[in-house]
Amino acid sequence: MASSVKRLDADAEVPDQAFEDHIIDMDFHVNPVEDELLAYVEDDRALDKLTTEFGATPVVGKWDAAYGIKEGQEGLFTQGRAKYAADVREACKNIAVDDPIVNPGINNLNLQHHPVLKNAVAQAANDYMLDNFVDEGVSTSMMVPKWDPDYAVEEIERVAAEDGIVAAYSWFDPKVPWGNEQFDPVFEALVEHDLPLLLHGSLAYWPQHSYIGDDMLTWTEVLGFDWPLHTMVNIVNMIMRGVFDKYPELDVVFQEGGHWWVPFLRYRMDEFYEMHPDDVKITPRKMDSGEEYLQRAPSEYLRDNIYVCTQPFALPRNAGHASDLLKLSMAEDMFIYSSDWPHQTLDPPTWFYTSNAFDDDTREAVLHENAEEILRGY
Amino acid sequence: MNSDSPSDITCDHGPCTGAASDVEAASDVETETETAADGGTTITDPDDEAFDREAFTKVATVDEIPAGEGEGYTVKGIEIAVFNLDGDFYAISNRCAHQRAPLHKAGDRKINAEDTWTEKRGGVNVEDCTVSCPWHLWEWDLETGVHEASGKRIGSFDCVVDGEDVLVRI
Ligand code: FES
Repeated sequence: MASSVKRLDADAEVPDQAFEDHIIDMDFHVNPVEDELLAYVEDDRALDKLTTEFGATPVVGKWDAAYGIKEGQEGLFTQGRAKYAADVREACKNIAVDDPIVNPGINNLNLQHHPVLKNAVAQAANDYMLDNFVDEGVSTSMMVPKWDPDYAVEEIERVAAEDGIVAAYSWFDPKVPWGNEQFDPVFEALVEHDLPLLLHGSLAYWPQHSYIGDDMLTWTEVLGFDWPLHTMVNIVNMIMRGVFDKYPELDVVFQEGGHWWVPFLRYRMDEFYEMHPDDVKITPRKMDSGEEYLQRAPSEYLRDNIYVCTQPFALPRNAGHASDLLKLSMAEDMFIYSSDWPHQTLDPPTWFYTSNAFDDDTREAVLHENAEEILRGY
Repeated sequence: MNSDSPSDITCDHGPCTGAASDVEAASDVETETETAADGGTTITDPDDEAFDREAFTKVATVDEIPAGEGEGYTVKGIEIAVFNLDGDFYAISNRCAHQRAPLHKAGDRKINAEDTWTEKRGGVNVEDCTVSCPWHLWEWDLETGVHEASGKRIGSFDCVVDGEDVLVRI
């Protein structure tokens, strides 16, 4: 009788096959503690103000997740808190992630008020990441301050040359969308340094102080649907405003913005554009270039220049439906696996092994090939 | 940057509550009720003469599963998690129906737990007789295997203590 009982491995949390495959995780958050982060602030005047009793990021965003789960604010640190490279390695070991692309997950920085202080935190975050991750051999996406494109370029020029910086990390939000021409210098710098732009949802910009935002009372609405809406708005804005005609080499990855809306965008953009193409020529980049139309069908930019992280995957249970949806969503070209460790919507790589929806090509594309195509140095 | 003042409601694990005695009392009552209810089909009281020990499999001794924690086992090819709720033991399927997280890891200490708001990844709730999953905190009733919000159910198994032995009936 005793021989039929076996105690389970204490570490492995995902199917065995996951440990055999190469897995790149495009969205792994590092959260330095504030004292250690601020030790990297170079400007004494900024440091003086960042260390008042209000702390470095005093403006709080709505955090409805706190009401959505019993553990309240643990939505942010459900799995723990990675401060150093060893923490990241420890976390990845259990979920079979070989290559986490870490970012400084200070996702409320975008919301803060003072541009000089925000820039100081961005500088400190990048230096913290260089010291604690790049130098320790962990691939890192550097922080790019969206609120100050000039400083963003300065920071890219200062940091991007470091080996181990493989991408740039910023946010999408309901403010100025990324198709705006003010971001052209940022795109230029990124293309020059061969870095993809990762745009993450910013908890700072969940809709608030707007009629719709103020009536969103559940996390399902706020995180589940507000972020995808703003992702779609940003993508269509970038495509229709000619960003990728001007910067065909630019790759943009949307993180936590959802993915199953891809078929909707794909067919609807083409339908509308082909029926109403005449206003493209009066968008600023086309005014400059003199071109009348986009160089390609809108859906082609979606396939070639845009990527979406998969977490939380929410794969249909029916494998046939899931497989069809993967194809319609151009998963083999657009999807990139992400865990979102340590947040509550964590996605360990289980779907790829528990659903028959994936053929080998799609699984490999999502788990590592699409990421390898765009990350610098891969 | 982060508030470090967890409110009472963020701290609902047995070991974190300040009302340990109330929690234990509630748990005792629930366990007796369960045993009585199950008694109709299976005798789960080892002291009862009719108790069929051969129908059960020993998975551990009581001291191998600390209070408030769980361990995972395969028994006759089935993966189960066994939890110790302050001396009462419960066995349910080890695979969360949401995304197949191993439930026996619920209650594991987090990486750098001291810098987060609560110490553990999911864990047991003695008062409610539940375990919340270490990945996304779905809360499973340890007696019925039900997740109330979704209505989904995973296997739950008779689990008894006979002397120092923890026994499970698959
Ligand atoms: S796997 Fe258990 S809650 Fe998601």
